[in-house]
Amino acid sequence: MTKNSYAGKIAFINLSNNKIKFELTEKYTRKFIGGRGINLWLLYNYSKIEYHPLHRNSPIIFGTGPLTGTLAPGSGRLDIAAKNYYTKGIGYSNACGYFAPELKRAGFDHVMIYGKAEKPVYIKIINGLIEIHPADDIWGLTTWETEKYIKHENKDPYLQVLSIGPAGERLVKGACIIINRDCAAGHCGLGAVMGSKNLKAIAVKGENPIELSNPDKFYRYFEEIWAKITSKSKVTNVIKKLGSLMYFSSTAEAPVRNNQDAYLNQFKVVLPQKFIKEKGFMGIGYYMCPISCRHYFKTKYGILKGPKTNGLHDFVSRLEIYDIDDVIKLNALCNKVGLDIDFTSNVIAWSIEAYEKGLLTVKDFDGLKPEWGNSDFVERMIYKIVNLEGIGKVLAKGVKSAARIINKGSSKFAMHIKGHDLYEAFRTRIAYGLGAATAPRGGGHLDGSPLCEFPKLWTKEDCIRIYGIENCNDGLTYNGKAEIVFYHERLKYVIDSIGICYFFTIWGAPDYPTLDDYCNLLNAAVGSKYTPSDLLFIGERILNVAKAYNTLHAGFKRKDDYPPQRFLSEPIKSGPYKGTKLSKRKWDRLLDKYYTIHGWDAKTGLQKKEKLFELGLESVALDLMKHKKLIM
Amino acid sequence: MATNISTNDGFTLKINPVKCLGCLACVMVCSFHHTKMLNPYYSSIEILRDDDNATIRLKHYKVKENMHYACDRCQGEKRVLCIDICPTEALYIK
Repeated sequence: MTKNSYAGKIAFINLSNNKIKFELTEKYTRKFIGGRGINLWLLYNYSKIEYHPLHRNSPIIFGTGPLTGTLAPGSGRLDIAAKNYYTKGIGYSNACGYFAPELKRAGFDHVMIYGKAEKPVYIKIINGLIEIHPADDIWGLTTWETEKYIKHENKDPYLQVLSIGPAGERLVKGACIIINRDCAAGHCGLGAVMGSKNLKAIAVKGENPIELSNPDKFYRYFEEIWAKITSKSKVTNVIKKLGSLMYFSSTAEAPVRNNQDAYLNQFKVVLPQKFIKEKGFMGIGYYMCPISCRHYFKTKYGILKGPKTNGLHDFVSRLEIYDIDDVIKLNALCNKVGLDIDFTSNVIAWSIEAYEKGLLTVKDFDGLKPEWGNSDFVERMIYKIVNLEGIGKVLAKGVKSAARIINKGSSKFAMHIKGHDLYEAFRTRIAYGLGAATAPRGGGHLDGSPLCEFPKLWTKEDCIRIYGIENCNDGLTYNGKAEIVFYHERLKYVIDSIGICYFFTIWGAPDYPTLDDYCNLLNAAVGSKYTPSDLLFIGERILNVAKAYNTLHAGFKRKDDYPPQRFLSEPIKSGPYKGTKLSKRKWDRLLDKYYTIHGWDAKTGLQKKEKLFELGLESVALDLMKHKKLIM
Repeated sequence: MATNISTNDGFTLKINPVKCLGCLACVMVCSFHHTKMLNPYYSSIEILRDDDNATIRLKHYKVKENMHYACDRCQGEKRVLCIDICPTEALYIK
């Protein structure tokens, strides 16, 4: 076999009977590359429509890509897929850290886990050997304690561990998977899927080298790409200091008080440049990451890893907590107990608004008084959610279900898309919003949403050079936005399938490496002859698998690709965008355009036979046809 | 920043732990230098993060140990790769 950067194997672990099977990765690489592509194809094939997301045989799949563990920037990301606990549709999320390269060096590109262990277990994968160990002693521990315990028990500080906290064990909808204490695969309730299998953690160590098809060529391309990020980009200096925090800016729309407003008037109190200078003392960049999306901070609660951009929007914008020490503490608490911060802040913000509107009382909160900006209240609510105590038990089901339970009109301000709790605020950023509204997993700005609607970073010239569309940086215009989203959907599936961080592409900054750059790197790593167009075609294929899964398992249609009602009916109350809201009529037209350029049916939002055949997804077309959900 | 290769016998790699991000670029590029493959366990450098104390530890293998190659001061390269690749200039020679 020729040398390439794949580990070469996929492991299928059945926790019900401890049996393990193997397959060669190459069976899937031509059509789906690796990472998210292969993950979603395995999920599509092994997940049955009648399975609940927490069904014992519902699989959870961990995947690396061909560039994982190489020199490629941000090549430490682990992609995880399972049936979406919120929506019953497609579920996926990824996280950085040091785990993914270790898994690949341990001999596996992908690991699929299904079945359910009788008692709590953790899986250990060392140099190709897979063992299942009892986890009774660590069930109930936080993710931080779990990582420490496993390293200590195995007397091996080099083990890399992913784990769930008590939130995952108790099947909280917003339960996430944590790597290296603060890298979270937050979306889709994947922590609860692990919990439902009695799977507490996975520990890996791999001492096998990753080979390259053409090492010299690979290194030359790598040097060019690395220089683009670390020295040639016009935003290098800002990014080096702030990482993704540079997108937390006064001009960016924010989900203020559960999106009742979108302008953070006390923005200057939590200026990243300011608090990093005052309290940050060390940047953190995980595997092959040359920027610092987060830092260690000296806080009044001790030394803690700080939040990324969404941590600031979740706790500062959404809940109006302006004490940065408190924000860092709450962010760390969520990571410890294994709760997605976007979910957590969303359900708590909804509950505060429900109280404000008189739909809930202090009695419902067991005597706690809900209020914006009260970090003690938020901390106690986090414990209530994790412990399924009082109102916490309701919030643990996610905002859509919580609003149904409380009723009294509270669904009107329950911020979710397709039933998945929502992080994104988008009354002033149409492309960003369209990407989130149409994302197969239900919200999230890491599918089709671009970041070009930040005029400070994106110039007119950038818009024309990258998208061929003038004024793409004007957030309010609907023109050309469907096309930009379509490009980013495909690009993101490619990036997640080859196994690198999306931030190090033109998504993160307009002068960052392009798909052409990564195509060259990939070809040198695996000995392929892909062109950028080939890769986008594969990206489109993966998108169509995700879309078909949603149609079959969750029954999603056009109506599920709309923004939450609040963005369509309530204008922004203050700030530079005062009075702005989305237009239903324009969104209708935008969706028409969006479906048409995808080759999907604009009336229903369903897929067409012609497109699926063009993409080589004949079996998917057949599945949809059987369920009368294919437009012929 | 290109760094000239030292021929000094006292070549010791040092780290400014406050500057280091823990990205392991130095570790991996060193592995590539020795073997054209990627494996931190081949590298002459080891970087280990201690989250309890928020510290970074560097180990410089000047002699072969287990799978780790001995540092050859980047013989055959135009620059000392680990120092050159570091995005924060955290590594230096003493």
